[in-house]
Amino acid sequence: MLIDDMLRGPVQPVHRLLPILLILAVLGALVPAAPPAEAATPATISGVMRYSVHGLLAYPAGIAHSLIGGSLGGPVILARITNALRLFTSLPGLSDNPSMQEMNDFLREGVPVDLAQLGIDSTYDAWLEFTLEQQSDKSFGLQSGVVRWSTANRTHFDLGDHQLIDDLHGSGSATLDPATSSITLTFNFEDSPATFELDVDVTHPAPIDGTSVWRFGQGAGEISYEEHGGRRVWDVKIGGVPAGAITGADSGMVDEMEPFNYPISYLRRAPLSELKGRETWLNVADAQMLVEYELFDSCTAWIEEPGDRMTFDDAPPGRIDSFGGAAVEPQAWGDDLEWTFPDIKGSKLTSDPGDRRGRVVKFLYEGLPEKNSVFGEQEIRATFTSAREECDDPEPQRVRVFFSRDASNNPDGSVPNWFYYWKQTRAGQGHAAAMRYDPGCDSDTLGYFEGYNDRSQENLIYICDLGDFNTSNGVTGSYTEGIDTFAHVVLHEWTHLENYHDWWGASGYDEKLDRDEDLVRDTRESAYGLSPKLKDSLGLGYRDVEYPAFLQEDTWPMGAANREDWANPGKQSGGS
Amino acid sequence: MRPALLLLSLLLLFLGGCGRRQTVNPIPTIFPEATPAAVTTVPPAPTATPGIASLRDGLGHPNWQVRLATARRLPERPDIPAAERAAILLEALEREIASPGDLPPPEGAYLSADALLRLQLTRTLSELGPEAEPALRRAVESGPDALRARAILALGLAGEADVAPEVRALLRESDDEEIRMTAARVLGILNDRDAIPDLERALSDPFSATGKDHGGSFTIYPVREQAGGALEALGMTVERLDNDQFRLLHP
Repeated sequence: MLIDDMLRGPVQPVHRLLPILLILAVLGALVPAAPPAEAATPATISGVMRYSVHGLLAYPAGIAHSLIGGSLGGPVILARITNALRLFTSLPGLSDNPSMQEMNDFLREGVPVDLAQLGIDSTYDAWLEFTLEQQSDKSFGLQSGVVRWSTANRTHFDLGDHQLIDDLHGSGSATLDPATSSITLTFNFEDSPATFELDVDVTHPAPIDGTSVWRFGQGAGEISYEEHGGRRVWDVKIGGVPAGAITGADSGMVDEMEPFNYPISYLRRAPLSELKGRETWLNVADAQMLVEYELFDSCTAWIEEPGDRMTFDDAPPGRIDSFGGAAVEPQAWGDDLEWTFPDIKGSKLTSDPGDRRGRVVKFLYEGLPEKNSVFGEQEIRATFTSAREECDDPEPQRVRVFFSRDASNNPDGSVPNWFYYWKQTRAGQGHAAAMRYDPGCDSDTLGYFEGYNDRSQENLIYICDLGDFNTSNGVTGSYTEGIDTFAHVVLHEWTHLENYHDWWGASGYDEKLDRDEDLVRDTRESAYGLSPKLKDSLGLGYRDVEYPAFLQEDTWPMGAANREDWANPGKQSGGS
Repeated sequence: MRPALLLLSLLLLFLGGCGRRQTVNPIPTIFPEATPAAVTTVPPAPTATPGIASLRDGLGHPNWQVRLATARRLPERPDIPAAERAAILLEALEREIASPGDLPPPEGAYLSADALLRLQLTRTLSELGPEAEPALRRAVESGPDALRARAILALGLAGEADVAPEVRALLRESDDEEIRMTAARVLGILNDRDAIPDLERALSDPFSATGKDHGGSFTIYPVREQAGGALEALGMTVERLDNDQFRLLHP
């Protein structure tokens, strides 16, 4: 419900405009115009309609169905039953030529309920797609169309002495022939508000397959037929023995029939605001009827969900649990959409439903990818399948996929996501292999190089928790946020590492060559504008070893890694 | 038909467009409010350069690093008169002196973040150019003592030699170690040979600080360091001994 509400949205532009377009189209035809160079193409309107019957007379076939309900086909079937019953001359209560009344009486004999009140498991569903062509100033008629239908009758009554079993079904499609079917749409602009009338009178061949059986007299008799492709073969048994063997009469009657033409009839008169509508009612036989229709100038669809960004959640293994949702006009064709969700390498994708079909399809990604480059711009598509001739596919939705910056649900699992992914970017400056994360640093320490104290660490730099990811350079004052802060810290520590190797070489730090104990080799101080006699040559509050690193930080081109930053929050997710 | 339409269009164009040019500019008087309305529809630049008000806010930001970053950008803003920049910097410096944040030394530093910030604000004042000088001199004349001292140092850092006597006095008499260390440095910058005795005495200044960086914990005597550097700048030879001791070797 929630999803439907979300997808319904505040604006349905096509439906709001369609009445106006229709008026313009119709009125346009009324305006006298100069003779065109070529014959004008008649205006057309498209439409769809669902027509559904559930209950008695949904499809007029089957012994049970016909005996209980009577129907268009009932008399035919009853005539055959009447003929068959003639074979059971010994049955009490039936004359030699039983009438329909007799037949019904016979059926009702000993039945403790009103059969008309029994449930009938019979359904018929049809889906019509059609194009109407302007035929006069105010009316449109059927140009072309198709009906897709299905029916099933699985009625089963066990009434003691009588068992009635229908098991019949059929489905198919047929083009709508303007010679035998009509759909007209007429506008009345004199009404206030203006109205339309939709008149549907369609028939289509509806052959079915299956069997229908009537057993009675506690198994003494059985009348049945098997129908296939319009050919119905009857069979009659007495005491389980074919009747022909007992009476010498032919019990295997065959009907070669034209397929039944199923009639669909519907009339709707309403204001133009109801060019999309739905009705349900009980017909004269108390069957449940449902009609949904939609008239439109073109089939349109657009993706409404997901939005333009998706972020893996914080908990392991990291999930994106979302849904694709489209607005489709006519809405009924939403079921025809098939969704394609992007492959995020390293993340497992599942969808519900599994065939990714429908107006709304849930999807789930589980597990964060290994590579930072897998995040970012992706495309979600929805394409029409059966309706691709009628509908243009919605524009693909561009989405950007993010990881949760401060979670630790990356494939490593022991370091925060920002560290795991940012070191793969330009901000890592190619030092990912020499970079370690230390969760136990002092709160004001963003990174460190340990080579001066421990030679086993002279090829590593450590990155600490970056706090709120904002910092300023203690010497130059340059201020950084987010991934730029990470880049500055990496560059600062890497400068220490490089300086260490440059100044102290393979033999490592030697305090005898560092009179002022500022960790800069005396012979190298002047190259940096520093004094070999002063620990803090610049008087800014640091030992000289820090100044080259602070100054080097500012060589990082601010924003250079923004386009690789898929952290949320981050440079591309609206954060910093 | 088409030539007729063309002629009609040209006529309408003339009447509706060219003809109006000869009227007496009716638009500003009839629709005087139209211009401001149109201006409001122009979206602001996505990364607007901060104006003086924003800079003042930045200098008062709760985060000392934002205050530092804001201050250090001011020398690069010639679009704002130096006097205005000096004024807001002096305001900021006065606030920093009056209400220090009791912040610990940041990573690698041996001075507190408050002290680093005051040092940087003083340096920044010295980098605003000659147009900032009147504001600094006003602060020297009438500012509170601590602000006055830093205004003197800023002028000295900017090369204003006339403040040398006052700088020497600060080195001798200030009980603020930040001021003494900067005063020593300034005397070297000013090439003030009259300061040599004071600088030599400063080689024994008692103020020490500790810091922690990549080499581990260290101790430093900042005033001695800056006095030694100044003496070297004055052409003297200073010998660094063990345990942060310095000795002046007369030339």
